[in-house]
Amino acid sequence: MSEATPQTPTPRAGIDQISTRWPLIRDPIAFVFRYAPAIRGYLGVFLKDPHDVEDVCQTFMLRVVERGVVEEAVLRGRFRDYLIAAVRNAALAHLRRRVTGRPGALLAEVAAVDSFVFPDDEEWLSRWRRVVLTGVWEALENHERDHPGNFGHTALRAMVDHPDEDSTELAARVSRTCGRTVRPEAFRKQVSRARRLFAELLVAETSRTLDDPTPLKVEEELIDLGVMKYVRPYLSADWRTSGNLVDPD
Amino acid sequence: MDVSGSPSQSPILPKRKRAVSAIPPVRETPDLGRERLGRYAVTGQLGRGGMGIVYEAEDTRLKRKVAIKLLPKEVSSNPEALARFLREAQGAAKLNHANVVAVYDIGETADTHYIVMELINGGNAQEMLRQRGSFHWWEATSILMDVCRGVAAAHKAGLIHRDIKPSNILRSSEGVVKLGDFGLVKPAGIKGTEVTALGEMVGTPHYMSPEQSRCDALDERSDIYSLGATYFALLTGRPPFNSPDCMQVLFAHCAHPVPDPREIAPDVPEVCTAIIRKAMAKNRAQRHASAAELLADLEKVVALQPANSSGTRTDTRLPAFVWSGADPTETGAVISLADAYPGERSETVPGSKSRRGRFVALGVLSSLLATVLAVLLLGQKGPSPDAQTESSPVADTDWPSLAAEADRAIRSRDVAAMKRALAKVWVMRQRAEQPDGGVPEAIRQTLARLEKALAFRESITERGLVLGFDGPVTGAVLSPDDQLLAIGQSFGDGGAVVLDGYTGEKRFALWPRKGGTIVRVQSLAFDHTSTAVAAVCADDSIKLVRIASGKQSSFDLGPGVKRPLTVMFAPNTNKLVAGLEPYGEGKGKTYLKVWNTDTGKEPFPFKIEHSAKVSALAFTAGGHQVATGSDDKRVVMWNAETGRIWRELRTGLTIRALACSPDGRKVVVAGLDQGSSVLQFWDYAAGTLLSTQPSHHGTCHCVAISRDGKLLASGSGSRVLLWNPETQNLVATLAGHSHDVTSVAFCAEGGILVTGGADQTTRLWDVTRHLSPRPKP
Repeated sequence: MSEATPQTPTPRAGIDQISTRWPLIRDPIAFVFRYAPAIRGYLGVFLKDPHDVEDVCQTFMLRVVERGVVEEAVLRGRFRDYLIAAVRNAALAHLRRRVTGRPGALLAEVAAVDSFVFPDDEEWLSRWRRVVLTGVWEALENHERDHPGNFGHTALRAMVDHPDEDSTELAARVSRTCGRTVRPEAFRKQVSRARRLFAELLVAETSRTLDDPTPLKVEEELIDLGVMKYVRPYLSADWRTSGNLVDPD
Repeated sequence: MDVSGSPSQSPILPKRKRAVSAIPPVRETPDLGRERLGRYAVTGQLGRGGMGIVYEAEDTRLKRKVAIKLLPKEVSSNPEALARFLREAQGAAKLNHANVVAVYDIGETADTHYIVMELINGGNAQEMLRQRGSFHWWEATSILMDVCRGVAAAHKAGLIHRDIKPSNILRSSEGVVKLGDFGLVKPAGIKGTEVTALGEMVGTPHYMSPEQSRCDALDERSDIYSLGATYFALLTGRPPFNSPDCMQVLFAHCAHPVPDPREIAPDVPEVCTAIIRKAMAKNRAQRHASAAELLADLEKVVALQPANSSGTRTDTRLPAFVWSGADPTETGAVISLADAYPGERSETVPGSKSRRGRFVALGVLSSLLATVLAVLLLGQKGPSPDAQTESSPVADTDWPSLAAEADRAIRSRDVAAMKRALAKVWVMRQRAEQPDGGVPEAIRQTLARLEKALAFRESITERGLVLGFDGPVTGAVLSPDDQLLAIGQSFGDGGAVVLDGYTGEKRFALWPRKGGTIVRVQSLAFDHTSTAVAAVCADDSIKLVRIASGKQSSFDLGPGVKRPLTVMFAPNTNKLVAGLEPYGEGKGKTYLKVWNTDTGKEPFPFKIEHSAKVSALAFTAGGHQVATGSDDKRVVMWNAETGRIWRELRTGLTIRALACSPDGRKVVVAGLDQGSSVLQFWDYAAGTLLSTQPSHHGTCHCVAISRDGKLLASGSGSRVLLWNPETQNLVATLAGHSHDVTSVAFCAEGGILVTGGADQTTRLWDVTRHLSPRPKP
């Protein structure tokens, strides 16, 4: 997944105005759907048979539908931690069923399932990150579509996809895409605004996945995901208390 | 009859204790009987689904039929939802596009609101998928192109459909594809839980985009996703993610890779797969940006243009024949006489279903476009595995050669050959088309004939193609050149109907009813030139008609003859032989007559001596000898030129039918042995009985051997038995007629058997499989 290179700033609302704790999200199942690609991708790493992957996804979804996302009392922390635990449990249950359901299954095979070693967390984290960034890019694009005259997503995307081109070349490229003349200065301005918005959207997206999205926890999550570089230039001096983003100097 | 804007057809899924109830509740709408909604007089109910009830009504002011959908109460009673509905209805009403069901009006009653729409009663794509399985990929592409045009128009007007799926793709009675249920009657005011609320599901999830599954904001590209999923369904007969559990389907939309339609329908070209993959990208930024862009991709498929071609886009509309077709029924494909008789009232076939709305169903287009591609790009064989090498590529072919190829293909009844020829003619048509759309008449006619011949041939299956009539069919005979199929009728209007042997179209009628005079035909025969037909009639006459001139004549049976029983032309001369029943029985009676059909005279005095009526005749392949079978239990074989008797077979059967093998080695005798129907196989030269086979199902009235000698067919009560003449073994039983089979005849080519029955039907059967030698176990 191509990643943005942030640069420029503008003041924005703090993260305490972003939506509520994730267990209370009105539509938990839709929320699960949002991260479905990560779930499936992760399962595919250690369940080589696509049928097994689909079976586990099915089991997992049934569990989510039956029991809801998770009880608030049980949950603390990050949605992705909950999700990976639930997915791994579903995978183990599937593997156990497959072994024990087979006539002549050996004890050793059953034991092997119980001691199954899942792929390291980076596999899950990378897929999670991809989904988060996809969501942010999509939100950025929606913003462009909802605001006629704005071509920030197009500009930022062009810059990320063609890192070797200078602003003159990129402006020409965007001109062709948008069907109107874009000068290099206007291009740079749009990129700047898009980066700022990207940072804001990234903070929002990350916050939604946290049980208690304090600025510190958001910052920690952004670092864990490896995307802090896109937000850091926009953190205000009092970020850890206010959660505000600003335009960089 | 179906209806425009038919209610979303939610899947009927098993109810699960734990999961979301997959059976949506029927939304509460007032149930109307016959009453008025404003100026609309409700005339009947057309459909009922999860999204309300649809009625047929008449606009009493404009005097036209319309469809009216009543809104569910929860939409009507929700002010926000209602306001949004009204805005969208106003937007949809501005749409004036051929491929969108028109919205005429909205209104309200005391209880609810309603929408008045264009009435579409040609069926919908989901119904066709259920009936016929998938569409051919060219058909599917054509359908989706029309849908895309409608969607593009709506997107331009700022509308998003949000529920594109096969059941919302309708077809008018003129064959125009229309997208219905456009952005209307959606519970747009219900947020978030649209797809997750327990016990409730809005519409089918099978075509929903990932963003719909996640309850994110939608845009035009959400419709693109649904178009891609719909395309998948049209090509394969099933949605891309086919779990019965809605949650699984929605999860799959979000997470699972788009399946390859070729895993279900291997004939689907890769280019269609690529289009689906792009349209159904999880990330909507990677989909087609618009319906117009998707349409452009689809147009490239059917226009056979390289992906990067530039220049003027040619007309890519598919020919009208795309929308023709017959519905199969349980007893086989049925073509009513309305098809054989354009413009005439449809005849009903007992037990057959009435025809409903149809989409393309025939195998006319199966692999057609692939063949065209092969013709253009490869220049030689088509892609079908049994393709024969044929003439040079279209570019090098002159029209007379291509016309000859087309004619050969039709006569061969070979599907692959007809498809190849059709593809080439189609390409030539495209190239010959004038700027004003004119096409040379010869090309147009050849194209039409090929289409019809292919459609007809592909309608003939092992289950039998039924041609219905209004009275018992007393004889179905093929002309020696296979071009004509004559079917005699002894009731109704009588006479004989003559169909084109290759297309099934009615060509003309013989001895048509004139005033109160009806010629009741009991049996028929073509002469060896296929230019004359003789008939035994119920008025105890033998009539002859010259097809070209229409000149009619009859033959003098002479005194002492009570009635004719059967007639047969010699295979290579102008002789007509008739089996007769005289008054009384015994020697000296007249049981046979032979005439020269040119002069009407008897060429020689007959000395063939039977002692009972002769009801069975057969010529040998060379036409030199004739076998006659009689109630006197004898088969007499005699020289057709001189009348001299060559051999006599004492069969012990009351003989009803005879057939001689083309190689001259066998005679097959069908008759009754003390009331039981049997077949006897005789060695012709040696005059010895080879075997006797019981015929299980009833009296055998008819028997025929295929022209290559590989198959023998006998009528056995209501069944048709197929035998291997060499081994005298029964190889198959064809069931379909509901009354005695009265005639059997093989086409010269193509493995087709024609049977006539007292059940008022003529049937054509594909018996190709039985002509091939079976592998030894």
